[in-house]
Amino acid sequence: MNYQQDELYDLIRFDDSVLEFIKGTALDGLYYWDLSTPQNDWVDDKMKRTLTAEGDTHVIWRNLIHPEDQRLIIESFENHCENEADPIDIVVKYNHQNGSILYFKYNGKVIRDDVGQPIGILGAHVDITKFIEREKKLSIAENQFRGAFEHSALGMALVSTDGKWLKVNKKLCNIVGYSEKELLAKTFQEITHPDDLDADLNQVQLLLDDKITGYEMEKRYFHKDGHIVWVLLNVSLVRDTDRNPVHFVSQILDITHRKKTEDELRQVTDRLTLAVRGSKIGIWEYDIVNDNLVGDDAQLRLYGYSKGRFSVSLEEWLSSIHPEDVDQCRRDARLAINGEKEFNTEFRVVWPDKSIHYLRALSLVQNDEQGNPSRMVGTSWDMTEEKKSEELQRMMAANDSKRKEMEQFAYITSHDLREPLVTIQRYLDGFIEDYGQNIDADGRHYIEASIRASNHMQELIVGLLDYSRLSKEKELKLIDSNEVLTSVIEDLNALIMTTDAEIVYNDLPTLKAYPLELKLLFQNLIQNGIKFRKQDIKPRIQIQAEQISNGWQFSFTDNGIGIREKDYEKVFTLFRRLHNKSKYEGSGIGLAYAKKIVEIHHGKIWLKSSPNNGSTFYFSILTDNL
Amino acid sequence: MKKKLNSILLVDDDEDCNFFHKRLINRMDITEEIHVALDGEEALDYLKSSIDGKHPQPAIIFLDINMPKIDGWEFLDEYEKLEDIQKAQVVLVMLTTSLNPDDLERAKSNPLVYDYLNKYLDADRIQKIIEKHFSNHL
Repeated sequence: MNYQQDELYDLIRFDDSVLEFIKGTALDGLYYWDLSTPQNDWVDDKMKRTLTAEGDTHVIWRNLIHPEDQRLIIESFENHCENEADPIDIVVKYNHQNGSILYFKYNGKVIRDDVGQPIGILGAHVDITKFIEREKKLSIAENQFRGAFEHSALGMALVSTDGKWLKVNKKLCNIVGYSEKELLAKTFQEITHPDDLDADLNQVQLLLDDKITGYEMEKRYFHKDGHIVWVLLNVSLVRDTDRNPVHFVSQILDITHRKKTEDELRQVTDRLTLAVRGSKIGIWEYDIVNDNLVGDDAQLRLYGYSKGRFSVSLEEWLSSIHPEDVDQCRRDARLAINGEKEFNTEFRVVWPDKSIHYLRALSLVQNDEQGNPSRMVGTSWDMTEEKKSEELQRMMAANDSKRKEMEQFAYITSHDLREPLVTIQRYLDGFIEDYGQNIDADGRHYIEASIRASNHMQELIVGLLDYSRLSKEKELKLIDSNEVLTSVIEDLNALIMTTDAEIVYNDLPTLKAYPLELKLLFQNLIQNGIKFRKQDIKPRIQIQAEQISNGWQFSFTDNGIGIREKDYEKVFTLFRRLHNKSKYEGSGIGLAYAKKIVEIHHGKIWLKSSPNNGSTFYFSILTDNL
Repeated sequence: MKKKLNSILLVDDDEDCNFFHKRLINRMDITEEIHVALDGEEALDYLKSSIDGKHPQPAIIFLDINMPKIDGWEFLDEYEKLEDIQKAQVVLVMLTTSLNPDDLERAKSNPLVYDYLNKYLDADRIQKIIEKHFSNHL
C-alpha cells in the first residue's frame, strides 16, 4: 500500500474536515442505518438539505423513499447481505417534502461486526435527478420524432452515408411499393432511375464534403412493380458533435401526379406551339410601360427576318410598316392602349428585301392592379395571299364590269349611230325618187355612192351590234347541227342560187351549243366560202365533224381563192379586211364574230390554206363537260 | 273606189322622220288627214281633244319609242287609261330604230300594240297594215 494512501486514510480517520470535503464534493449524501436500532437512520446535512425544505431532522429518512422503490431497496439489501459480491447499486426515487421526486444513484455497503453479523448499512447518494429528467425529455423528443416520422404524410428515411436505408416510414414504403423489411435490405442507389443517379450522388458528395447543408431535387425511383415514380427529394445530413457525418435524413414527396399533369400540359403546349407554327401565326407582347414589343420566331419571320430576336420599341416597329399605313397603325395602337377600341388592324410591312406583305394583327390589352393598361398580348398573320386573291377578284369584277360597259357602249353607239344613218339613207332614197329625173348622170352617181357608203356603214353597225351582244348570258342547248345547217342553207338560198354554190355534208353531230350563235357561225363560214370564190369555178363547201375529247371538231373546206399563211391570224381580227372593198364586200366583222362564238363554246378556230387552193376553217366546240 | 282613212297620227320627236313619213303617206294617198305630235304628251292631248264633241280617233297611230318627256312606253300606259272613244280605231304601231330584241318582246306582249317596226316605214309595210285592218279601204 502506498504511504500516501495510508497517510490520507489516517487523515480521513482523524481529521473530519477531510472526510467532509470528500463527501461534500463527490457525494450528494451519506446515509447510515444502524441495524441494532432499525427505527433510526441517519443522513448527512447535505442530504437533509436536498430532501427537505427546512432541514428537518425528525424524519425517518428511508420512509422518504418512493413507495415504488421500497421493495427494490430491501431486496437489494438482503441480496447484498447474503452475498457481498452482489453490490447495492440502484437508482432510487425519493419524495421531496414538497412533493417532487428526486432521483438518486444509491451505492450501499453492509457493515458487519467482528463475527460477521450485519450491524449497519452505509449508503452513498448521488443526485441524478437532472440527468434522469434530461433523459426523459430526450425520450419524449425521440417519441415525438418517431411519431412524426412514422405518420408523416411525406416519405421519410434515415439513410446511411453509403446509401443504405436505415429507417423508413410507411409512406415511403407505399411510394416505392416495398415492405419496410425489403426496403431496409436495399440502398437508395438500387431503386433510383439511372438517369437521375449521378445528379443525386453529386449532391450527396457535396453534402458529405460539407459544401452544402442540404439539397432538393426531382428524381425518379423504380416502384417495386417496375413503373417509374417521380419524387421531390429533400436531403439533409446529421453530423455528430465532431461534425462527422452520421446519417442522412431524407424527405420524399410523391410528385408523379403533378409530373403527369405537367407532361400533359407540355404536350398541349407543344401541340399549340406546333399549331401556331403550322399556321404561321406570330405571337407578340407589348410592354406598354417600358415601350418594348417582343415577338416569337413566327413574328420575326412575318417581318422578313429569318433569325435574331424580335424586340423593338413602338417607333421601331412603326418604321417597318409601309409609310401609307403608319398613321393608321399609330392611331389604332393608341386607341387600343387607351381602351377605346380593340386592336384589330390590317397593314403592310416592308421587309428588309423591300417586298411588301399584308399583315393582320389582333390583341388584348391587359391592365395592372390600378387598372392602367400595362401590356398588349396579340397575334399577327400574313394576309398577302388573301389580299392577292381579293385583288384578283376585284380585277375580275372590274374587267367584268368594264366588259359590260363596253357592250353597253357598243350597243348604244351602234343604236345611236344607226338612227341618223337611217335618216340619211331614206332621204337619199327620197331624193333619187323625187328629183332623180332632174339631175344628170354625175349628180346621180354622187347620190348613189352616198347610198352605197351609208349601206355599208349600216352593215358595220349591225355587225358591231351583234358582236357586242355575243357575250351576253345565254343557255346551252342540245341541238342537231344538221338542222342548224339546213336552216342556214335556207336563209342563204338566194346567194346559193345566184352563185350556183354546192354545200356538201354528211351526218353531223347533235351537240350542246348556243343555238343562235352556232347558226351564225355556220352562216358566216358558208357566206365567206361563197364570197371568196374563184371567178371561173362554182363554189363548193364541204362540212365535216369528228368527235374529240370534250366535244367536236368541225371543218369547212372551200375551193375559193385561199389565204396566205401570213394572214392566218389577221383574218380573225375585228374590222380587218384582206381585200379591196370593191372586189369583195364585207364589214370585216364576220370572222372576228366567228372567233368569238367559238370561244364562248370553249373552243378554238384556225385555218389551213394557200392562195388559189381553197381554205379549210377548223373549229372546236368543247361543251361536253359544261 | 274604196274610201280613205280618216286620220293617221304620227308620234315622233324626229321631225326629219315625220317629214319623210308624211311625204310617204301623202304619196300613197290613203288618208284624209295626217296629224303629227312631237311627244307623248302632245299626242295624248290631241287624242283627248274634241271638235263638236267628237274625238279625233285616228285610224292608225305610229308611235316612236325613244322620245323626250313621255316616251313610247309611258305613252302606252297613259293611252290604256283613255276612254275607248278616244283611242285609235284599230291599230297602234310602234316604231323604233332599236334593234334590241328586249324591246321587241316588250312590244309584242302588249295587246295594244299591233306591230313593231323599224324606222323608216316604207310603202309595202303600210300597205300590209291597211290590207289587214282596213280591207274596205284603198
